[in-house]
Amino acid sequence: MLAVDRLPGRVSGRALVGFLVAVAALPWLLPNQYLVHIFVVAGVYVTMAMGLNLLMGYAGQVSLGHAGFYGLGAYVSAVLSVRFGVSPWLGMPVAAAATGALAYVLGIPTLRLKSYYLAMATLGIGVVLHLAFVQLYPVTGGSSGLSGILPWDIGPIHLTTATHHYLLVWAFAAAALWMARNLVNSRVGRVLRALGDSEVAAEAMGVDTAAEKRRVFVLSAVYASVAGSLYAHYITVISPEIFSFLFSVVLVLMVALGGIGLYWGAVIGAFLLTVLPEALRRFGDWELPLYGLTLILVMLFLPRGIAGILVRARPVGAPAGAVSVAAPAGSGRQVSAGAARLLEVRGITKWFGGVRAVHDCSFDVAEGEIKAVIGPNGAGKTTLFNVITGVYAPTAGEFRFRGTPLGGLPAHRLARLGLSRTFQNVQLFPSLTVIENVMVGCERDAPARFLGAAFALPALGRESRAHFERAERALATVGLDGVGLDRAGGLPFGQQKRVEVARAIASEPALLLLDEPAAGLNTSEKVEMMGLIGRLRTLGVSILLIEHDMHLVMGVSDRVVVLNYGEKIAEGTPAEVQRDPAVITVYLGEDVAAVA
Amino acid sequence: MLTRRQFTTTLTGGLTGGLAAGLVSPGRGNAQGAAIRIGSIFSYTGPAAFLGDRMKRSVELFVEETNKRGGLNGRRIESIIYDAASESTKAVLAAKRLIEQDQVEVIVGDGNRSDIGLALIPTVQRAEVPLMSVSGATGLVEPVRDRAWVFKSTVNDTEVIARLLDFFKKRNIKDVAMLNDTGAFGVSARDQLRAQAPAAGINVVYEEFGPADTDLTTQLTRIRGTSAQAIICWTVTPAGVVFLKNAQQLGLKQMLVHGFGFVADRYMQLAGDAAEGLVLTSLKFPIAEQLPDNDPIKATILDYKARYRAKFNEETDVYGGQAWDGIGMVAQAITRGGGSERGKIRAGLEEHIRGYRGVGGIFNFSPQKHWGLAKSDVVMIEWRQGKFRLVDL
Repeated sequence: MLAVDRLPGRVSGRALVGFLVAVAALPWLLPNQYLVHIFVVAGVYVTMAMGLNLLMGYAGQVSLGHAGFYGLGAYVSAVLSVRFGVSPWLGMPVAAAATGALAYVLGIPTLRLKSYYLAMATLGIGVVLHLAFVQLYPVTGGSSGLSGILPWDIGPIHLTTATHHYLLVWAFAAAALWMARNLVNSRVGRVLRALGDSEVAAEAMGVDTAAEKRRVFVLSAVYASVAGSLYAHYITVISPEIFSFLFSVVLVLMVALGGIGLYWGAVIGAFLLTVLPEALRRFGDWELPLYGLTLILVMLFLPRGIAGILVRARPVGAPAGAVSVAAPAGSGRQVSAGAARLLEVRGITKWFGGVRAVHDCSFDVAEGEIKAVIGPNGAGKTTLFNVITGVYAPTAGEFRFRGTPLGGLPAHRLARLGLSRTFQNVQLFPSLTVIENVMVGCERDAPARFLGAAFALPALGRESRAHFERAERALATVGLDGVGLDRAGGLPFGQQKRVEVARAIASEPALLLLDEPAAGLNTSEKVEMMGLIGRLRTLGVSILLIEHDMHLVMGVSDRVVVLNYGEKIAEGTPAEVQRDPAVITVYLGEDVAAVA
Repeated sequence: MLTRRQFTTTLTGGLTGGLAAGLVSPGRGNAQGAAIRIGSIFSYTGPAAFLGDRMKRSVELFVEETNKRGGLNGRRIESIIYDAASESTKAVLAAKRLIEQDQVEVIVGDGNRSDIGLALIPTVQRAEVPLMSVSGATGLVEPVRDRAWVFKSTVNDTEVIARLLDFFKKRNIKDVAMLNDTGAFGVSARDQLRAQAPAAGINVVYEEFGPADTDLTTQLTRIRGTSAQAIICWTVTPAGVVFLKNAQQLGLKQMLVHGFGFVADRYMQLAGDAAEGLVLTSLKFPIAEQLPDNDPIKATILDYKARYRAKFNEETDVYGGQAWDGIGMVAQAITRGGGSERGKIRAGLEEHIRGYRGVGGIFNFSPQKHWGLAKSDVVMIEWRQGKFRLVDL
């Protein structure tokens, strides 16, 4: 039996404690204070790299501007201390709050961007902040930098040696690592990895991806800011060069080299890039070539980063067993068929420039009903589906869900109302295990609590276990109870489709939208899928499905809507539709219709 | 053959082992005994690199020649040079490493920029390690009571500004404009000018620019509207070239003056004919060949230049000379003072540098004075037809 705290990818608390104990002992094992100093800097970098790892490795959002946040943390508390004599203990939280607020505001527009564009935008943030450090010289000291920064003290005790600072910096680093571990192990960590894999799917499961991305962006900026304040008050001299674009790249390198998206990767990468230049310094002029060579070798032979070799690859893909026809788990609600209207589609029209994809399309889905939308290629099925699921806004028309109008709601709001969907070209979260994929389906209940997760509140542990059990039941329903711990990306396609269905039903939807569930399946997999949809019907789930495969549609649907060139040409039971001359014309050509 | 897995394991193991070994065995244990360890911090990459590379080579040349002659007091010099990359923080880290890891007795070179040198002061003061600065700002060595461990091998801007004001008076120039960069070097000179100009009866209008600026037209246009007869630019960065080019584009007819951080052939060549007729404050070094033969340091300069040329097959400059003087005076403090410990070197510098003939001038240190040169070591030169020429001795 699986347990929620045995999932792969969880960070063992024992390993973290062991690591921190070793870290605490280190200064007494080093022969001189300069070496201790190197590990003070490593502590600063570990804090920052871990924040960036949450953003980049887990949530998949590249940032090339983190040196700017690091600099902001350093400059705000340094300036407060130099110009106003403010203690670093006050300066650091002020700097962190300022950096967090700035990241929040900047995150609203920039995090809408993806991949290269996001990288460019964050690069811009970093460059602008760096320029501000250089240009605002009456405040920042310009390119000469700022000296005379107050050093750290604890009450009346002034921290003088590197070892003192080591203990201080690593106390903060330990807190940062502990919070990051809690997040990674929690529902929040799962959601971040999910949206890093597929934002569309996470959104469709009720995750407010924009808000989650903003939260993790702010958190990583605050990590960088705290690291910056620690550094500034330790070295007591700062100059703008260290916060330049180049350092942002080094930070990304730390995360990538250590192992992107692996918790220990950030730690290893930060250590490596702090220690490597020091260790190579004895080679004199060969330092830089050797540095480059080491990086190339690591990236070449350890593409998953150094931490990647610690993670043993699990064999993926369980035998494609037949769907178990075990008694369905009791997660579904029994709904009497033919009851109230669940979804009302009224006069939906969608234009793409001069192309009319859907025209004045109306139909209902009743509680407990399985309704199929069919039509030849280009008939507008997928557009209609995307309008209903909130991907596109309709040009005209409206739809209501249980009487509530749904126009213009983002996908995650629709999901929270009880609309759950699958995707034509499977949108699983490949880096998550199967069970975790399905657990993301439970996200529509309530948004994950970011801070609660960071501090590992016990209530969230109970919630997590409940989600785990729901996911197990959903997997049993689709007949995949044996593959929970496999990586979803490694499953055969047919099983991936069933995982998607499991994820959708784990959200206990009022209406399940299936986008071509049979697409890409072989004959036996199609039979399994039909059996599965039939079983969902017995659970009382209402379904709207879009499908090409006539055999499947006619076998499982209560009623069928036929589209052609964006217009509804027929609606009725499978038998009625099959007899409809208009439908026959569309599918078989006019001659055959005439003969019939 | 190794399998891929074995290979990655070996690679990782090798990396970890190598890092640990590289860190923990410093290779410069006290057991090696005899050598006197002298650390250096220069910026031989980054914007200040055009000063730093010749400084570094000059130190290397000095150490090599001294060791060939048998070292100092019979002990070899072991020179450890780190690159500050024109960054204050890198320089501070290099100083920590020199002091704590390499355990040097003295540091010659402060990253060759005033702001970098200023950033190093708390570190060397706390560790009580002598630092021989090669940069211009007066604040590096004053007040001496807070700078007990810092000396410098070039002139203070206090004297340079005084010399410049003398020159203006001689030429009957009453109104000038000061255009300084916002780095420590520029700001320090501006403060000196503010302090000294009123007594000299010279009116100054002040403008400033960022060391990385690429256009100074705005400031120069404002200056054009004043009655300034001469425009002084104070920087060590390539923005000083922009100053010359912009002034030429605007057709300014005023006398253009550069400070003593800009006396480099390479900058003059970059500015092209915009540098023609530029007046500079300088040490005697660039015009050594034009000095009268009875000048006390003419032979010293020519000798250093020749040795540098023989070793590196290229010309050195006044900045390389500052590093040459810096390590030379440290060496004299060790031999005359009779000790190579940190405290003895400091005492040796204060007491045994009297009338030292450096390539920058005649140095005199004392417990009250940690900069060696005087106003008389500063000359006015100009750049004409591809050469620096003496204007006013």
